[in-house]
Amino acid sequence: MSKDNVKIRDLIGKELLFSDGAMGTLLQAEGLKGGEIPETWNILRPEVLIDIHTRYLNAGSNIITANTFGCNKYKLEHSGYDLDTLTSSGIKLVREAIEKFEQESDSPFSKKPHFVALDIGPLGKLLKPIGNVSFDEAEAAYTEIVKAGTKAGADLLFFETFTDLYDLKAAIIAAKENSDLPIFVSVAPDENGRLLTGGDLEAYVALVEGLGVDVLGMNCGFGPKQFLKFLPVITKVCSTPIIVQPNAGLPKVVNGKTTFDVLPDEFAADELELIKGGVCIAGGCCGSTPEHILASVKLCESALPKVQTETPDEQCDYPKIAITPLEKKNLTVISSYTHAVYFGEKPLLIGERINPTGKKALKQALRDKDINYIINEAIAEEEAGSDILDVNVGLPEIDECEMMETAIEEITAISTLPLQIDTSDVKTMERALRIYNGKPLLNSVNGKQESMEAVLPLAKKYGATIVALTLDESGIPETADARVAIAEKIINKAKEYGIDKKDLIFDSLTMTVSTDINNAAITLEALKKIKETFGVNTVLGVSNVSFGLPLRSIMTSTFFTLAMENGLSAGIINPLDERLMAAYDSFLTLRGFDNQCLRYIEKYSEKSDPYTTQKSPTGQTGVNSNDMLQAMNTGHAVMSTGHANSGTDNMSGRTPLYTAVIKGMIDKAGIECKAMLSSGITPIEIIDNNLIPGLDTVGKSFEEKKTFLPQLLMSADAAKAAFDEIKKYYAENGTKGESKGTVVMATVKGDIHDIGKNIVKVLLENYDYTVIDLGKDVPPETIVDTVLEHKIKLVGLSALMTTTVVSMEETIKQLREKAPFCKVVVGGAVLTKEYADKIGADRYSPQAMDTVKYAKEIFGK
Amino acid sequence: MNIITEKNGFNLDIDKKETYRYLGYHFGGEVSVNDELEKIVDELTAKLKENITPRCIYEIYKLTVDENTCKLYQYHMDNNTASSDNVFLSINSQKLSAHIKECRYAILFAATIGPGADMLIRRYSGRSTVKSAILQAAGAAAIEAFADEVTEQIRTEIDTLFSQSETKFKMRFSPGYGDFSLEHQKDFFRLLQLEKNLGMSLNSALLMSPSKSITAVIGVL
Repeated sequence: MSKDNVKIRDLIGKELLFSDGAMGTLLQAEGLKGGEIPETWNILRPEVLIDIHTRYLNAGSNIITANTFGCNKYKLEHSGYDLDTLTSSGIKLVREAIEKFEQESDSPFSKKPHFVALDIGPLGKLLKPIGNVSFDEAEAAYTEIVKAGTKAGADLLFFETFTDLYDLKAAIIAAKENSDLPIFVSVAPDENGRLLTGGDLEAYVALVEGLGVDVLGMNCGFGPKQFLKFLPVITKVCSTPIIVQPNAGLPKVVNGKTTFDVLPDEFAADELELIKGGVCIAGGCCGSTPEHILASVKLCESALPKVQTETPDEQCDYPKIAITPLEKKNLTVISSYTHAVYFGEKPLLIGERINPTGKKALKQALRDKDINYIINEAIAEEEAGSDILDVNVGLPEIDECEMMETAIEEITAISTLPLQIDTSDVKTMERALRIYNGKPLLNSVNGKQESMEAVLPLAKKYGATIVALTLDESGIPETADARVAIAEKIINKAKEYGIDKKDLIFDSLTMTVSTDINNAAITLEALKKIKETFGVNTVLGVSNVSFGLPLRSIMTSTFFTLAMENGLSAGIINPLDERLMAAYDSFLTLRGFDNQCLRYIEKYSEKSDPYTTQKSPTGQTGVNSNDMLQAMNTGHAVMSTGHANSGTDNMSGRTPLYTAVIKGMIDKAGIECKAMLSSGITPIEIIDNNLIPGLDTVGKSFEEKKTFLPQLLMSADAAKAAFDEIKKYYAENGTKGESKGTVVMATVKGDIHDIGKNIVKVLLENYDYTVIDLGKDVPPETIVDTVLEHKIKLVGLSALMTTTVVSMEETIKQLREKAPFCKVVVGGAVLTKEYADKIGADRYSPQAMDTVKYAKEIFGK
Repeated sequence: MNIITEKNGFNLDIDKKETYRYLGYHFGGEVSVNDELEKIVDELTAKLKENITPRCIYEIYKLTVDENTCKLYQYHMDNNTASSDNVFLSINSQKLSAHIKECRYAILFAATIGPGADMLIRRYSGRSTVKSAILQAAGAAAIEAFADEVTEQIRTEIDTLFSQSETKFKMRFSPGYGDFSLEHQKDFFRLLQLEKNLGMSLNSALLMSPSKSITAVIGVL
């Protein structure tokens, strides 16, 4: 009889179960050709499928996977079959085989409970940003499969052989939203224990456990021995039942046929070790056969103890084999798409700079959609040592949800750090949690009923770890105990939603010490009590403590140290604040996180003390400490480059800045420019007498082929460093440099080569033109709209490929129609003067400087 | 189909001279590379090496060539059964045909140094033009070096397959070169399953991602 009354969720993690082995290998043996779609056999050769399933049932498998691995809209596109038909027939064939086996077979295995798995492989498409399929498109494709399989009566959903965590996240969300069936997931790591897109096994476990899958594991790629190496990595952090389906070793082509080198007995011996190591569902992948599974089943039956039943006379008509239970781990973890980050050991740093509160420049960048500004902040925070990046893009006048999505995508493209999603807008929150590539950290929930009811279900659904603020309807309590009480309230409410307290990180709220002298003490006391009472992790934004006081970072860094000593798990801080970082670094050393002080020594042995005022080498005193530090660092850099110092003074009356530009000394150019500005030389004089002549000299030398591109670029970067100082000067003095004109630059649709465009952009900016950089792969419409919006007189287009010059032509055509006032200059490796004329460009620019010259013609300066 | 990854024991050596060449230097003239630049190139090359994950895949096919067309069949196909039914890939290109006309087998080859290089380039593109240009050049040098290195490894594997030594390969010939249409990138992606096997993808303009990737036909003599 079919065991309708037995649910698989009641068995997993309690007794040993077996899934089946390879499908493809057996189908090929039956004559499936390379290139043929295996799932079509569900219709064309159903008897073969019934036979294969029956052979696995006879081998002792409990879970039989339907022949539906490739049932998705991408793989079936040209098959002539629809997804529903192939999926439902696949499920039906397994069900038929099981019913027949349970009714007719006299095998002892016929008494076992059996289950039908809807087999779901990856789409075979890479997701953006590497590939072309969006997260939403992937999720929609999985939704189709999940719905079809659920409707057809599968007992569980089995997502296997995944090699990308983002793809897997889309699949799991599709499953959760469209089915109540148990979710099994399995990835195929490479020999280093990483997925194709860089995720390690800990990141994998963090993500899928957060999403609440029923079973997780590994399959394919390797034989069981390799999986024995990976298993401890997983069991160390995993509390979820584990499935493993190794290949029967590695494929070898012998006389044109693929064979595998691990035979059933060896396979079974290794599977036994895997099971002893914590696996509770075992099966096989490529190359494994019913013989492999049978050998494993038999060996486990004889070598492993039986499940102890509670009542001795309880009926059981098949041998229930005991497993090695996994202990519950209670780890507070978040992840990026590459790695996991754990709270609770050494304190972590959450970079706070991507948050517009009190930051004029970032506010402006958000309004201008200047994503480069955000990217550069992220890189700076990462390089300064952040473990996690806070992302808050909330401004009343922008579309926060859209901006958050863009910011997450762009930061993920340049940094592998996990992100803290920081928003109070529920719509933004849900979208961000959904598209974030990993197990997110969410900032925040608080003790208000409304907040908990809105945030907790979202956190549960997407597996977020949540920052919980100890405030509620009556505000921030003035006593530590009242904050502890709110923490308890949040813990209890979270529990109702199925969220464990390990996924809550408590913020006992830093208040300004200048408004009440007890504020810091209350915060610290609450922090300590919450940590000790509930055994949870804690977080604080520390900088608020010093608001309104002079030299804030002295106060902030001391408070930070105190907080860490009181059990702070993570500080939300500005990692570019050197004093704060010094406090952090010394804390790590003092608290034993820095073996033999090596980290501290490496970081600080070359640094000068920012707190002392020293005599400078030239005998002047009273130099601002920051300048000192910079000067010393730069001095060091200049000396190490040897020759760089020499020519400076005897360069026929030229200034050091001019020399720095010509020689491409980037740091020195900034310092020299700053020095000139502070000695009273006007920006105009600096630009006209130093920067422009310097750039012209290098540009001329480049045209004469005496200098090569990298040197031109280094000079451009040096000039840029000087211009950055001038911009700062303007900002501080309330004046603004006059732009000579605005140019739109873009790499055309379909093309991703933007280096040429970027070079031209830097040069144009050096010559004081404003550049609106639309980036790469830019559709003609975007360019036209920008030109119309800003009444642009000059557009620069770049394309590297013959295939994308077509887009360039189209862009020019649209510009001519809608913006006839606008001139177009084009460049790129495949272009020639003739071709540029043919596609209707106004000017062909074979070299970067040509565009600058053309801009001078257009703008008359 | 055989996949070659880092662990298969190659030692990737990024030739600095090649990096300079991609940056537009031609040696022999009066110009030399200055120390400042050399320091940056060394530093970025080291960084690049930490961030690459080279992978390669190849498959050998039986080949027939006439003046205009190269046809690839299953490697184990019996010579008498060559027909339009079992052609895996047909390439119309006089240049490629001329290049591999005396070959009886052809290898479809794909290699990438992975997405890490693109991430590095992107990290610098908003901050330092010279550094992103150097990384572009070093990345190009790296994928070429990797392709050369694994081509040698493949040669020894083909030696084993053919039970002979020193099998001769023709130079790699890539889509987009001469009249070998870039459209054929789609065939490489289909036959070698590059999305799944190497984590590569192809956009609508037939550009590959990761950008430092190579596909090529290698004629086997």
